[in-house]
Amino acid sequence: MANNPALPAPRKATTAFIVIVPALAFFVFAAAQLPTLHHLVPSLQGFWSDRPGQMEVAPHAWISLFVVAVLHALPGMWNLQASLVMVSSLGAAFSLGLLFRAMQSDRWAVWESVLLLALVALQPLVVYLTVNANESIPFALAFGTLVYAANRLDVNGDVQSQMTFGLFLPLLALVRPEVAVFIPVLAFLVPLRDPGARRDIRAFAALFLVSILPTFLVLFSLYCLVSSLEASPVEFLRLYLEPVSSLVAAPGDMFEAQLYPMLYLTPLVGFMLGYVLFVGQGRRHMGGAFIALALPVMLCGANALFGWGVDFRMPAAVLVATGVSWIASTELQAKGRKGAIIALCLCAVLGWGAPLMHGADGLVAPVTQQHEVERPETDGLLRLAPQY
Amino acid sequence: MSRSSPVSTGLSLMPKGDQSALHIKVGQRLLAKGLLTPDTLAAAMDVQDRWGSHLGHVLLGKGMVRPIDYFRTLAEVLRLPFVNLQVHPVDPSLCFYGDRNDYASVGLIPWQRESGRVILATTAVTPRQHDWARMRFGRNGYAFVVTSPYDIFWQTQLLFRDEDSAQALDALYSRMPEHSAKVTMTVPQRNGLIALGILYLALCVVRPGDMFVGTMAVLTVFYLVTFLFKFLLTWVGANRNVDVQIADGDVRAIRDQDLPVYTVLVPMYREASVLPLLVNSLKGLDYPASKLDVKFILEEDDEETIAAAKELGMPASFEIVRVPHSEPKTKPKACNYALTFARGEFATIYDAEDMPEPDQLKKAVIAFRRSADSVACLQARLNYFNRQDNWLTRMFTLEYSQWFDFLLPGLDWLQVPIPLGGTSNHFRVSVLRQVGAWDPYNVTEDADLGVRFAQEGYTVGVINSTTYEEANGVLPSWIKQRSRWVKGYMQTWLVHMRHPYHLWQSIGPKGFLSFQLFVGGPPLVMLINPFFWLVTIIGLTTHSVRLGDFLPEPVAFIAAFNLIVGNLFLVYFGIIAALKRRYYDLVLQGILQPFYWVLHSVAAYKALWQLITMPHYWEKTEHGTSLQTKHALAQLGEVANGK
Repeated sequence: MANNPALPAPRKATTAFIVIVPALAFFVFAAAQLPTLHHLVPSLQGFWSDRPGQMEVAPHAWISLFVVAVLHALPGMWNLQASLVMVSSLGAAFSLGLLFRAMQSDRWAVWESVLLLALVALQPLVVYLTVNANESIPFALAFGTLVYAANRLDVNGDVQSQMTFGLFLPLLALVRPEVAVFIPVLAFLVPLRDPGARRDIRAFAALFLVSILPTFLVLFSLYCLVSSLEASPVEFLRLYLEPVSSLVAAPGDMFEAQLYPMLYLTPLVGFMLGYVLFVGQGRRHMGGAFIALALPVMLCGANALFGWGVDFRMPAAVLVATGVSWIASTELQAKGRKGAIIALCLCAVLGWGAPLMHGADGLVAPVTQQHEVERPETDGLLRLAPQY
Repeated sequence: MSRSSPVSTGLSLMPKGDQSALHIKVGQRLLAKGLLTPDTLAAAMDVQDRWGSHLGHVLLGKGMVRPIDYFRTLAEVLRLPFVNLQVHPVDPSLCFYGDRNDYASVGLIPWQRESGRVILATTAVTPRQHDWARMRFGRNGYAFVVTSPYDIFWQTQLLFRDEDSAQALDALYSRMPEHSAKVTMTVPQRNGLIALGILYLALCVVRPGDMFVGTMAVLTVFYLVTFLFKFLLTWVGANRNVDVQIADGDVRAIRDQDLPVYTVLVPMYREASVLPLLVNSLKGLDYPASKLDVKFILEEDDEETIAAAKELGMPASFEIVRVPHSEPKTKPKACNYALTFARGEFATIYDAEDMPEPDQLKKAVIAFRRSADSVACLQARLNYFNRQDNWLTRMFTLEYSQWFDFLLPGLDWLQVPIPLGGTSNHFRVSVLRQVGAWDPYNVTEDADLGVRFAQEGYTVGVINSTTYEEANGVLPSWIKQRSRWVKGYMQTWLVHMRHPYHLWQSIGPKGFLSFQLFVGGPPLVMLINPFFWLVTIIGLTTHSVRLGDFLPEPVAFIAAFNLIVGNLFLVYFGIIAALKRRYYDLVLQGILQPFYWVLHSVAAYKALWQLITMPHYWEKTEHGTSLQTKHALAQLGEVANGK
């Protein structure tokens, strides 16, 4: 390995805290300074929430509800909004730390990893997700981890990677019931990529079952835990089936709105496509790349078609998460690593520069109807969400 | 680590050239006597270089000639008398227990005294035998006659049966009594347990509510930690890189002449019916027959199996070790006894119904050669060949797949003590002897040995080779077998928790925690499960019991988590195990595992009762009950009858 300049030796010894601590400081600082920035840069008005720490939780976004419930249970001395900012900042910072570890395992140099992750942290969407402290953080993380798991599946193809992918799938059902519809589609990828399963229907069925079973186990557990079996199972199931039961009349506006934030990320998409189709042709990680690019598009389309009410910036946020997750877990060659850095640099420049150049009405899309803020009237975890 | 060479038969002690010439002469004479065909001799000559063994070893190892014929002919070539020690036994006054290892390794034994000289019965006459004799009896104080290695082996068994038997029984106890299960609970343990019990009951009387909540909280957290530990082990064990991977190419690359003598211990009791299958499996091992040292370990009162073994006409490398009667009559005691006669650098154990993958011994040798000297044992994976017999065998197969394909490799990866499985564990013989071998009083001596290895600074690895066994598909027999296993785990936990601080120091905090969760935890969980099941069923059917009504919310939440998430995922792990083995037919069957857990609890209560009333009693597992075994035996019978 040492003779190959494209693959520097692994540097696992470097602690991920060299990324986590500065990232945490940066996000907290950004949240604290947001009102000031808001005044200084009027164009941010339409792009960012001006209410750092304001939690907007969709109904049955279980992870977010759990976080809110835990924060509610804290002694009164804790300010809820400040706590939310801290939680989301910690979540973002630790996610970057995990990406750093993954990159170190894939032989990225420390400076390359730090630079790339700094560029990720500087993406306007990432700052938005973090300081706004809404459900976007678990949302983006769920999609990002799936891409990581898909890459492991491509590389190892062992039972552990199959199991990991299956265990990560329920995350989608936990972040928003609407996106649970992607789970069966993704679960099919596990047997599809297995040559043995493609030949043997029993193997195919077994692999599919193993992939999708954790989702059923988690949902069943969730049903038992949050309702104490008092709610009807049909009502519970409806949560996951209704989102695809009817089409909206005019999906075009929402579709268009979602595309605007994604335009900033064109360099990232271009890089990934270029690498998969040309540089890394014939190599592994095709499955991971496919998922990384397809998931935001699927989200974008389904959100517009079925009127899920997911924030219009979410598909772009998911694209950042899946793209970076793919980059971090793909053994990119030296050129690939440099290309990724340049692509993210361009994304940051576009993200920050375009609104400033075009003013408040530039690339800023119309703000669509958001979910109402839900404050669970909870006095304990077992009665977390008995609304249905 | 010295490597044993096939010296103990005495055939390889001469300078190589002389010895080769001698064996060729013997071969030619056997040919002339019609005891060998030209083709057989040519085949043996062809193999001897490849195996790195002499012609004598090849002929005897492959069963091409009877040992008595071979050594009788050797005597003729050496112009010495041949003596059959079974007809003309040795004079016991000439033999000493201190020399018993020499008798086996040098290949001789003092036979008679004649005209002031000691006549030594030997398997070879080389400088080594002369040196040994000269040191004891002086330059002119001895003479030789020839005998067979089997005669020496038989004679030493007879001469030293009492000493060997006592050693097999109490070697560990006399060396390290605190590591022996001869005494189930020490006095301080018993007193401590009684004191704790009284204290607990007193507190229950004084503060019943608090004690109930406290007990529930402790058990709930214990369940949670156990579940998380199992989750971790399963996840880690699912990684394809966690066990020692020996590729087929590695096996092909190893030269037979570089392989050491390998001892295979096969303890059996009243299992004459499956003996032909076992012999067939062992003959199928991809290992030079001249370097195999197979010991059928039979109780001396098991005349039926002994007679069946004799009738099979096994090659000279397959020997019968008769274990003298003594109590307790356990498998570890029998193995200890046979270990005295082991000639191999490495040794393994197979059960009567085992079907190891043919290249398993070679894989073990390669893995040992690649490992550090601290690796004392390599555990091969176990699985079942009769999973389709009935529901019980299917559940058993799922359980074994999870145990050997996930949990043990997971423990290996965590570098914590591995409770060994009952068979197919491969040992460095020197280390095994050094730690006192198996505890004859522990009914899961294998699990105990794994922990003792860790305490002595040795490690255990897992290799990617499988031995297929017969799953116990008869419920009463299954309960017997499982109750023995659970009782053995209880014994092992009690033995090693005599000095918890010492255990902590010797295996570290990680190992200590793992020991509690993997050895102490399962019996406890099996015992208390029925109580929780009962509460759950009452709660669900009558709606009268709600966890949140009488437990603090965090405890109630964890309890509900254990009940629902924990149990569902334990079922999932079983299904994953089926997937790894590509037992697709078992994937859906895995859902039925909770019913199988009920049987565990039944066995656990039986185990607890036996631990108190007869801790050393060995519940014998009945083998040969599966359809496959019966079918295979019938096929072998047809072959033997020439059909």
